[in-house]
Amino acid sequence: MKYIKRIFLFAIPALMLGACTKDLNINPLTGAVASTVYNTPTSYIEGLAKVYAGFAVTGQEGPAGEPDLSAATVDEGSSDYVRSYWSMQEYPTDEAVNHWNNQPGAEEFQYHVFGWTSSNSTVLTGMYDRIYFEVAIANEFIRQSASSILASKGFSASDVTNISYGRNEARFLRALTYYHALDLYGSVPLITEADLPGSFLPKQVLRDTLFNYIESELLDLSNNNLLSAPGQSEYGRADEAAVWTLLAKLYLNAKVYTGVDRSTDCITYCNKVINSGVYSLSTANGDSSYADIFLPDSHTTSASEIIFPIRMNGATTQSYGCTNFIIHAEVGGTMPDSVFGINGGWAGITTTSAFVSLFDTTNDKRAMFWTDGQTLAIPAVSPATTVFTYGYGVTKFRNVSSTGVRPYPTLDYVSTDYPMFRYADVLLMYAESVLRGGSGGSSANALTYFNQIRQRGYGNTNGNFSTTPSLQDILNERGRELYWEATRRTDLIRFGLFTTGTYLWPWKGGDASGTSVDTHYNLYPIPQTELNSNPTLVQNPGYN
Amino acid sequence: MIKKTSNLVALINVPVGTNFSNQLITNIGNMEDKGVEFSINAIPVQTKDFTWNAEFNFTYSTAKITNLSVPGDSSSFTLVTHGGIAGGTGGTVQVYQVGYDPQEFYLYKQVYGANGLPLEGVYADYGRDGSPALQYFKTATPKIFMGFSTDFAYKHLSMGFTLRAELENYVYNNNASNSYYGGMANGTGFLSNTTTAVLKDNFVSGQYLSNYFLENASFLKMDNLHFGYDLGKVIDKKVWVRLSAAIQNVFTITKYTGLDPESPGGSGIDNNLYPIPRTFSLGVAIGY
Repeated sequence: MKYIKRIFLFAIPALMLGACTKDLNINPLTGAVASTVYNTPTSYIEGLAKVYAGFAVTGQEGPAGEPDLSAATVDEGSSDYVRSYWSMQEYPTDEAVNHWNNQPGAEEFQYHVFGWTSSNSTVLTGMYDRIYFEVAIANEFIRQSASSILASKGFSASDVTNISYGRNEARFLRALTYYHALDLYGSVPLITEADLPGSFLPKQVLRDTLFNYIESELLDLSNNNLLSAPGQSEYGRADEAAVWTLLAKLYLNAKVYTGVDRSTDCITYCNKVINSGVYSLSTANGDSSYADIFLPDSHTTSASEIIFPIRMNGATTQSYGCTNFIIHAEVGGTMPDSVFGINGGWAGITTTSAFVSLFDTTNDKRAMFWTDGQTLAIPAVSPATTVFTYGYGVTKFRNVSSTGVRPYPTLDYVSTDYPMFRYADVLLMYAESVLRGGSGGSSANALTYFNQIRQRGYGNTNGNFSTTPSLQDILNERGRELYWEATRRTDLIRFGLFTTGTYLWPWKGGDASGTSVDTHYNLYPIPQTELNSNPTLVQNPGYN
Repeated sequence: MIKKTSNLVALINVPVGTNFSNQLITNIGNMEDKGVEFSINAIPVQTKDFTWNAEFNFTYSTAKITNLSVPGDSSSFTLVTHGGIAGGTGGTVQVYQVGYDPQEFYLYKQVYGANGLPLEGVYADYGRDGSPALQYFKTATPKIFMGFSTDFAYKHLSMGFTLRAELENYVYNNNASNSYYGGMANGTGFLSNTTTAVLKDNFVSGQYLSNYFLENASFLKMDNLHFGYDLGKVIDKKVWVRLSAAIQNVFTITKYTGLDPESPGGSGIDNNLYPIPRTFSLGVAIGY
């Protein structure tokens, strides 16, 4: 008996030990993995919504909390996609100056004076990280919606069609994200759905290669009609017109990105948008038509003009970024909160005298400046001494509708959509490409489109040109029409005015009347945190 | 004694795009702790009427990170900042770095004027790009812990106290760094409150990364002082009564200018606005 007991005592542990080694590969019991997240048609729509929402919000909880990016390295609010992109495109130009004086690295201040480095700005790091987060979730959606995977899920045919369509939308959003990376950082890693998440070191590609990838993705979407015709899809979702507009932008700046002029291709795609007959400049509200584009009811008043908006809603799309940031930060001094539909401005941003001088402020309705209590001149920009009253305020974006109603008056989050792509931009791109020698268009049309914009801006024909505008006129008109819509830096670079001494504005390069800076500032540096975690990356020239 | 730990778990930066975030919890890092500790228990006096016992303990320890590379790739290296602070937007004051304590502070070195006051915005050692260099200073972890407790008993009286000390721990005074004149202007036309720290440094704008706010928080505290008197059996020897009195948080000796050098716990960042109360209590215990 005793022996049997002893044998049992030894045998049982031995059997248990044997069983242990088999089950080392198990699925996590808690947390989400792709097979549990992407398992119903609804969850796919939610996944696609996240890819869209990545431009407007910063995490799973509005306005902040449960952030997408770790709060230890980037602040959640200021790493919002549109906010960061806007900051990097507007602050280092004549259009915007930041007056916050309490940031640990005083980093928003660095942009206007061209003092940024790879490690002194969490906005720079946040933008880079946010771009690749967007790429990562778009890649995952594209992976999970491959036809072979959908076939194994047993969904209905109509669900499969919807999800496959969503896959094309995700490809457009990913191309848009890479376009921003191309414009801001130049040569960066290219990570596609073929690269599974894991611990690998992504390889950097040349700027040309990235340009070609973006072009090939967009051409595939356009040539094979993978997205709906213009005006056919739900407002806010990507369609063919968005693809064509992005192609036009890519080609307009191709000389900067690749050294090869692509003005003809730009005209081709501008014509596709123009000739679709779906879009027109919004003129329904007389002199207020321009202003209406930047109000919370723009989807009703100005849908004919807005090609691709980033939709915001004060109740369901809350963040400290996107238009919530623009509207709060533009309000300060004596600007009354109620006019802007918010509870308290952040007194952050004003504009320079160089920019104001582009306007005929008496007759151009687009000159929306706040002058009461503000000085036109900016005596100082350093964080220790600058204040909001330096420089005119801007009143372009507001959270009060064209009928004077503030949506969600009890919430301090805006409902104003951010117009990522607008028809006015397409018209100006057409005119510029014609002047740059592209074929497929005519200078007569260029003049017509240019005057359409002038006419809408002035409310009458007094501002119209009688002869074809010059390239400098186009640049100035882009400033007047598209200001504070995150295109200025790209435009100035394309015209060779961003770093050179030909066009100076107050505090450019840190000098009160402006000074030229070294040309390496035409590209932003890759963040130091990224260089540290990926030693295969090579920094852009001139930095470190 | 030396303790070596490997495969620590830390939140580190990963190359973005390879996963769904910019930081992941990873097995990374080796750490080495060195130290010595001892304690003494004694009953120096024990007679019929008088007893005195005492206990003293002492610990000295230092910790150092010895490795932070991703396993399998010894050429890679990550510098991870941590220790978020309040005020401004997203600042951190500490860093994980090989060769340093995990709670090492990473700040600018403040430059002082002839009168001993800090010069606002002026730091030592600027980099090529014109921005000041972040440097390593001190740590939040104390090097020395000491404790001493003792009890006296003489006939019916008893008395005792407990002392505690931590030495060479530093604290970043976030309450002081959040106090600057510029922070009082809040756009409504009225001034908001701030702490008296601003009167000492006279900063107009926030200087969150200055090591001026890093203070030596070594302290000696008397946690507890208690007295007792045993009346014995009274009222016809049927009922016993004991009186007691105690004070919690008797005193703190420290150079730290904030409210309590211990309030940050292990993090080394002080955001605490409420002082620790001193509690006096009296007690009567009756039994039969």
